[in-house]
Amino acid sequence: MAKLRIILVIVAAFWAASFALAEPNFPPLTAPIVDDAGVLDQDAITIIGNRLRDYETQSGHQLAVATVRSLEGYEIRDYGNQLFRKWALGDKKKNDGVLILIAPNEHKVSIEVGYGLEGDLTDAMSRIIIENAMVPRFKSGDYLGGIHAGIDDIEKVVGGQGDEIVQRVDNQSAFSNQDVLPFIILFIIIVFILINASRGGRMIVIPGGGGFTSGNSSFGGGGGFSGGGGGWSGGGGSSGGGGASGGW
Amino acid sequence: MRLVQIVFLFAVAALLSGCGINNVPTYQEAMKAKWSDVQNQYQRRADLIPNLVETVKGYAAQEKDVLTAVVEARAKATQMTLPADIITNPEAFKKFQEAQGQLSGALGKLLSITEAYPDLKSNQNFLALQSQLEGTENRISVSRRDYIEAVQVYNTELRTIPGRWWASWFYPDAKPAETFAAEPNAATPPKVDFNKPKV
Repeated sequence: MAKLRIILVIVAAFWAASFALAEPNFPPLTAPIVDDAGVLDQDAITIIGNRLRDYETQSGHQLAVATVRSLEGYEIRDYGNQLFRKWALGDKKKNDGVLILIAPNEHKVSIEVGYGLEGDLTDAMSRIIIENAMVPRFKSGDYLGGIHAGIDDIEKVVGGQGDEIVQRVDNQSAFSNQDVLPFIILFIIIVFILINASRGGRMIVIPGGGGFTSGNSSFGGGGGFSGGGGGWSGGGGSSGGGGASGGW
Repeated sequence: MRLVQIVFLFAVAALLSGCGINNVPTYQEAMKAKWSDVQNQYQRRADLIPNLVETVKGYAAQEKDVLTAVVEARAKATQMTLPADIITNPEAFKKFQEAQGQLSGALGKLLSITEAYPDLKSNQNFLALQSQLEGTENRISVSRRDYIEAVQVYNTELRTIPGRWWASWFYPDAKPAETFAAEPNAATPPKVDFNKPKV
């Protein structure tokens, strides 16, 4: 009888252990970009993959992008953190990995940040990137553009140019206001004055400063397909839940 | 002769550590570390609240009830003295969880009323605080999950053989630890929705 009880306890323990391991069906990490949801074409995957590999060799930070078919009922931040740990992104000691997780079917996106980068890529900064660089493009179905823009901004922030992004966002929101009309009127007036002035014989050179930021999708030069396209694996880093999420 | 004895002792020690004699204290330490992480994250949340309350007050002072509820829940959660043995003390653990759960609920309400104040919602300071709070809630749930897993490992070791034998012989003080029960409210952090059109 006692023996039976012991066996029961052991079985219960194994059962409990298997529960502890219960987790979503994560796609395997085969490359820095894993397009499980199938929203990108092969060329795009190669280009982004090369870009991320280059970034890793230059900066040492592992940045990965994942699109998933389904979050399987998990909250995106929860899924993202578990996936980050499963893939063990970033250096084991520095924990400097970043994961961009996109769930096209659930219309959700999150940036998961390793412990080591939390100071640079803060939650607030992650949210700014998601809301301004990624979500508007995802909304119109432009996954490639959104991913590139997101990577651009993350690289900038991690490289210490975060202020630039905040400023850009501020400018954009300033111009999206209805207050833009007076500026247009002012602009027209200035143009008229300039035309008048030049008719009067004075040459005025307008400094070439149309402050429009371009779409800045810096495609990392076509060619250079890495032969063999070998696997890619995480460096053993972990994340404690830094980052932010958004949806569209 | 002495040398042989010492060598023999070391061999036995190595053999024993191979079959898990150190597991109980090892897992216990791991669990304690995870627990202090949980506490840190809750503390971090508590630290954010005064600023958040001040900011909201500036725009929505008439929501007195909600604001006081948050301040009171925070005071209750932070002023609580936690006994040293909290993780093996079911009663204290439950109290801790209740206090934090109450604070989560009050915060959730506070964030939901902010929807009605477009000026507040476009305030940069508030947006930053909001995303920090959201991040902290996420860190809390991550650290809770880690703690739950560590407790599971530790408790399983204590309750199964051979860990149970080692514990009864060498670590009679080791008690099974408490873990978080999934509360209907605390399990889902207050949802901060950034997607609503910002008028």
